[in-house]
Amino acid sequence: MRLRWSAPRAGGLSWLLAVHIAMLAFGASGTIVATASAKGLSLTLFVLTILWASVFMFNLVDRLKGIEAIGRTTARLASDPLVQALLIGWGFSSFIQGVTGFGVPVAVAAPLLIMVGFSPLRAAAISLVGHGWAVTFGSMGSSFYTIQLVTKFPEQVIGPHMALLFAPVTIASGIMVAHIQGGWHGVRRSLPLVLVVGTAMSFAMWLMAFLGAPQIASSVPGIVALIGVGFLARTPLLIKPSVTGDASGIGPEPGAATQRAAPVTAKPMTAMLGFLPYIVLIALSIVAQLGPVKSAVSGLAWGLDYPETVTADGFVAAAEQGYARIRLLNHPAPLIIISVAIAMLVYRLGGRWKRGVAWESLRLTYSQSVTTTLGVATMVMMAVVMADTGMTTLLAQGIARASGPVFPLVSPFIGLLGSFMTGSNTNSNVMFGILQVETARELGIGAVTIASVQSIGGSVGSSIAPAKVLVAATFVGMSGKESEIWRVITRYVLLLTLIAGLEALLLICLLPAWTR
Amino acid sequence: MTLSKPMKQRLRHVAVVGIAIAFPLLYVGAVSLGGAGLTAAALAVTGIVCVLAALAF
Repeated sequence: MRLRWSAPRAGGLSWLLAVHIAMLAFGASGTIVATASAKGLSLTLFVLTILWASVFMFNLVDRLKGIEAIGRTTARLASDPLVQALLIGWGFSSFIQGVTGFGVPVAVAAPLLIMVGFSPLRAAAISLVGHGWAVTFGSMGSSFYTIQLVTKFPEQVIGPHMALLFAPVTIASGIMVAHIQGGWHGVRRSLPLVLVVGTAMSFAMWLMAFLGAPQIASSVPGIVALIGVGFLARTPLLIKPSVTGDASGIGPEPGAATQRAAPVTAKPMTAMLGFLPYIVLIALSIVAQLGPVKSAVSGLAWGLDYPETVTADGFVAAAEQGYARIRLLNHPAPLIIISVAIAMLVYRLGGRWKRGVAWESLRLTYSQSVTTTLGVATMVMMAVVMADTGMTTLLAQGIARASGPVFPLVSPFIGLLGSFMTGSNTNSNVMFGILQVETARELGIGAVTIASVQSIGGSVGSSIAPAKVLVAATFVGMSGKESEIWRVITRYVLLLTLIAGLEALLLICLLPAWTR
Repeated sequence: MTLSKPMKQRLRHVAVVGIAIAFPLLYVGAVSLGGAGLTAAALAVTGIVCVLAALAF
């Protein structure tokens, strides 16, 4: 990776290039390119409002020490390192991914693992591999909404379908966390627990997607994991007692015993209060799906209309009514804002409020989101220009001819490549989402399945993105030793991606009707 | 082209403002009014934002 361009740089130059190619080689006029770019910015607004609101909410709770309180409570739920690895690396980091993004799960979970006695390398690897399944529906569903919007599949079709395909990946992530912690011995010890909790998490993800609340389809399974692992790990039926130490091949936990016994300092915030805005959000997300509420606010929506465009080469982009429509109670951003307002009121009444914290969180949110904002905006514009001028269709025809029947197996690896290159599942879905679906259509195979595994590959693949590994290395004190972390996690991430590819291949071969 | 860190920071803010201006301009130029001059201006603003993004990030 010699050419380490940031997303805004890559996106900006790609848009300029795409516009030139569209106008010189694909017969697009200035109006067509401008219309496609405006459509791209409509999509961007839909996705980024979710991201801005969720990051603001996280920053607010974090500044009031709520995240610290949740983390410490989670760490105290168990003394067995295997259970701690699953609780923090698989459950807590995924919950954090569900509500925010930008590598925060790794930045929060990895130091927590070190605090309870894990080695830096193992802490980084566990938090990176453990939360990969939660990225697509994470950040309040921003990556999911991206793939759904660019592919134009109805939310209620692609959401539950993708959630089902995520199930084996979610369970496998838990098994891998156990393997990183304790090798095959750790896997054997925790397998019943991981299977039971992983199934419950997968069901929770599917249920949220099915109920039309994909924005909480990672955070709710994350909470299920915290509760499930925290309580079920106390039963010897589901987790065997530890008999040996390290068997993972990663190395011992230096100073584990002393660090694990370290006292926990007094907290200004309780875990329950830290969870409060997220609990309110979950409640609001469910209430918003109730029939009477839905119909009462159905008219409260904003979206722009776009006309049909036809290039000089005859490529048609259909007209759009209310494109990337933001509905008042069916879009995560307004729900997040209401949740934040309620939480702020409770914090104020409970004396937990700190003067200036809202403004501080807002400033932090802006500085954290600038790169992503420009990156997503330029990349989405580029992707829509390519799609609306026929470039993507031409590329898809080439890929379909080259890959043929093994395309479903390759598909999640394309998603992984996108995340590796851009450091973001959202950007990967923007870059390759339309291309993958067009290729599936060329091949006459299930486009919904292909769109799903594109995002699953992007989700787990984001764990090996240089940006995220750098965050992990920084927070565990391994700066300059990123290659050691890569060496450990790459095999797990590739295996998770392969699972997604095999799922798609098997479904398309054996149940083609179900994949449409 | 190497820019100083404060200059890059400033250009990032300009790029954010630029993209916020480009969106309505693109829509009004290409869809609402359909004027060639306005569309060209909108594309020019978007192009400048993209160049700024490439330089400042």
